[in-house]
Amino acid sequence: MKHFRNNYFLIVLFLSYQLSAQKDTSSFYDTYERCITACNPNELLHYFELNHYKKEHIINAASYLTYHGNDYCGNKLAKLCIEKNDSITAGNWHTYSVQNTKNGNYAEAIYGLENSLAIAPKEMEGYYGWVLLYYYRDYKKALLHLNHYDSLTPGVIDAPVGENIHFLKGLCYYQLNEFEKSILEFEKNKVFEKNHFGKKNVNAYIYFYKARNYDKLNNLKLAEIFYKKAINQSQFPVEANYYLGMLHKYKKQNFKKAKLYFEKSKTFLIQGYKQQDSYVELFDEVYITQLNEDIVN
Amino acid sequence: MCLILIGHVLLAQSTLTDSCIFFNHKIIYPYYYPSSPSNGKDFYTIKQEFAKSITAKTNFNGIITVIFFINYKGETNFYKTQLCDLNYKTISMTKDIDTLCNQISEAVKNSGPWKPMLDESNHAVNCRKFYSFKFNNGQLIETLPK
Repeated sequence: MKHFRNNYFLIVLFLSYQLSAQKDTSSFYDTYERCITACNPNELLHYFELNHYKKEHIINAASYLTYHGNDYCGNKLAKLCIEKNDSITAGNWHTYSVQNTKNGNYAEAIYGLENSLAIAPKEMEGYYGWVLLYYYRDYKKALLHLNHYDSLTPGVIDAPVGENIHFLKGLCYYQLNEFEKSILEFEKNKVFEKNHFGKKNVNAYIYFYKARNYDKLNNLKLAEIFYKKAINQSQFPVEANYYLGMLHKYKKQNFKKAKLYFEKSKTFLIQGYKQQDSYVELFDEVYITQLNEDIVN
Repeated sequence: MCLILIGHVLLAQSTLTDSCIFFNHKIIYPYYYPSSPSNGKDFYTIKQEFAKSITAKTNFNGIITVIFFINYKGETNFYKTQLCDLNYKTISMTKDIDTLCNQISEAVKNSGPWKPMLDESNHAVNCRKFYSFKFNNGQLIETLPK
């Protein structure tokens, strides 16, 4: 009883602060987005419940804490909230997972994804494959999920996170050194884009990755053809010019041609046109240091 | 009123921690928004430097992640190393990867000096950054995220 009274006293103290100084959510966020230590998830949950916050709001608040570097507090708050609710959706676990992936908390993120997948496999499996490919570089597992997701909707071309599933599968096979299979997937993607968007609008990176696969297979003739298709299809072809330069330098010993393509690549790169992402490095991403090394050496 | 006052004092004490001072009560952003922190090197160079520093021979299978914070002055602090296996289950550091973990931690600590991240108004802000190193049978096969 004494123990309870002490704890209760502390909670009342905390809540009195919360209620007096943090009358709205903006002041709550203002407090916890600027430090990484001053946070007690149990007290926060109690505060939210007392103020009749809905489960979604609490999970979003937890995600917000994690976003601002309070990983322990955010994750603990989310888990406490989830434990107390019997109507947790795949989306709730997805929210938990996404921020943890972005924060490099892979065990937590996959734990969240597995839970979301168990609730709604059709909704979540495409994302699972997509994120395993780009953020985890786990090509075998990504392929497993992408293939299963694809099999759930026969005859439909799926697009997890907006990317054609054949493009994603093509990248997986490419990274697994299964170049022939990769080429087949990129070809399927090309046919789809040609039929739906027209030949002029086919994504240049389909040609680029076909070229990369042929390059790896040492089919230099086809590699060159597809690098050139990628160059013609793109307004600022940094990658295709760079890797065509590499092909000429290392596989054809044609240094003059190599330098020509490197210089073209560099021009676009300096102008800031390379393919890149805010969160992760992309496959075959080209860097200025790398280019300068290849031009000089 | 008395309770409120004590509450304020307690919270004030708890917020006067190392982290709040380090961050000077400015917002902490993730490494990818609103801009990116920079150490003046592109990721190609960073990966090369990591690869040179991480030489320990092990049979480790898993991912070693080092999280750290860069404040508005470009100072770094609050380094934390966490591990998971290739099935993404949390694992603890063991003696056989002690040297590897130390090398990784040192390599990340030596990746600076960092320029602070800037917000939309070009004001220096705090940020959280991390590097992850994926190993397959002791071989460094990926460095993430960018």
